[in-house]
Amino acid sequence: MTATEALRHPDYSLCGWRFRSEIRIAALPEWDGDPDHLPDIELVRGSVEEVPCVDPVGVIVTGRREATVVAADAGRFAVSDGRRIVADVHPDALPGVVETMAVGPVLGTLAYQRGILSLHSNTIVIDGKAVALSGRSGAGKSTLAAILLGRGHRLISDDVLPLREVNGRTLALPGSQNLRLWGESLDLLGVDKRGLRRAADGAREKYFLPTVEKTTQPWPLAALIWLERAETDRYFLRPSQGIFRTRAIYKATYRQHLAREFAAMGSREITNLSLPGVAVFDLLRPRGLDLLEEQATAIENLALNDDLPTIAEPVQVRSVHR
Amino acid sequence: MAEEQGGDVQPTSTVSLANNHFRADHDGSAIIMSISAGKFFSFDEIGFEIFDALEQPVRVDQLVADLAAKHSASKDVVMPDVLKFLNKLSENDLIRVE
Repeated sequence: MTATEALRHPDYSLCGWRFRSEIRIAALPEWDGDPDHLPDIELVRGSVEEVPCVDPVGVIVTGRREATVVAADAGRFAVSDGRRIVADVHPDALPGVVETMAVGPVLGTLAYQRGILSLHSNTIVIDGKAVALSGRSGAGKSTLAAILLGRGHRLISDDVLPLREVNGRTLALPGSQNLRLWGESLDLLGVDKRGLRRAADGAREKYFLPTVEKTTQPWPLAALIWLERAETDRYFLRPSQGIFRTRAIYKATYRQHLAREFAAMGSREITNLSLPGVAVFDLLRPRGLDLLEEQATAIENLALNDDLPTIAEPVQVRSVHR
Repeated sequence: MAEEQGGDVQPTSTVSLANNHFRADHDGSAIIMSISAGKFFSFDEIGFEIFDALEQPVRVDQLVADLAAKHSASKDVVMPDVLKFLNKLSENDLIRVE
């Protein structure tokens, strides 16, 4: 064994792809597929040219196959051809932040380069069905996901959820499987922060709530729930149909500006918002943290509803690699 | 103004989809969202037949001839409706007109 091999992490499974990374990614399971399968994605450390970016985290697309992800507190990531990542990491960057970039904006960009649409969601598997919780920052995705995790359900994505349509079903490809939670949410849920890895620091701290059992399989996406805060004492979980369904899916699309840019470059695959087999709902929620347990129960009941597509086991798909 | 000219579809124009929409097919109907106009549209069956025919650039008079033949209708009857529909698509940046 060479020194380089000894230092390398085991390959990971990311959305069914074999992912070889020079950066440790605790949120991903190890590759458990064919040991002879060559890596589908490789991340190497290297130098990445500076590109102007005003946002704390931005994706600068320079072509259908080339983009740079810029993160003020992590570094720059050149993403090309949907398979190669060069990471130019700040020497003092928090490892958790670097990892979050790799399985967040970098994954989202890489998926678009492959012609794969992603949602921005915390995605939980309940009774064999994936339920994507989506909404703007602060809508309560992570907190609701944490409650559902606490009830024994499985997290398959904490940020970017790439989708694939197979035989008229929409499959959710498992990405980052450690839930990131704000420090104050952990306090409210009564979880001890000591010993948890930090996912972000600064004015508001974020921590990883690790998932013990990680999955490498795609799961059928049965529901997308768009969370919205409203001036209400109650919560309302309502089905979205027609234009409202399409609009909710569009709003849940990962970094809509990227979807628009790739659409303009002629990437027709990512313009398909049909999501067959997926029931779409709005969840209007009161401000504050009242009725969270009840909302989690409503989501569980929704997933247990016989009208949603039922699958007890994950769907095996061999054609995920490309 | 360029915008007005863009909406001026003629029988001799060549039209094609403009890579400026998202589409959702669900429960037997479809919804088109124009990205730059930020509007949602749904068409009837014939509307989608025309929309799908614009995947490749096509001259409007050829498109009308194909539709007329397929639906056993007169080109003179079909042309005004098709022009009206294409102009609406053009106004909402859904098609390129050359």
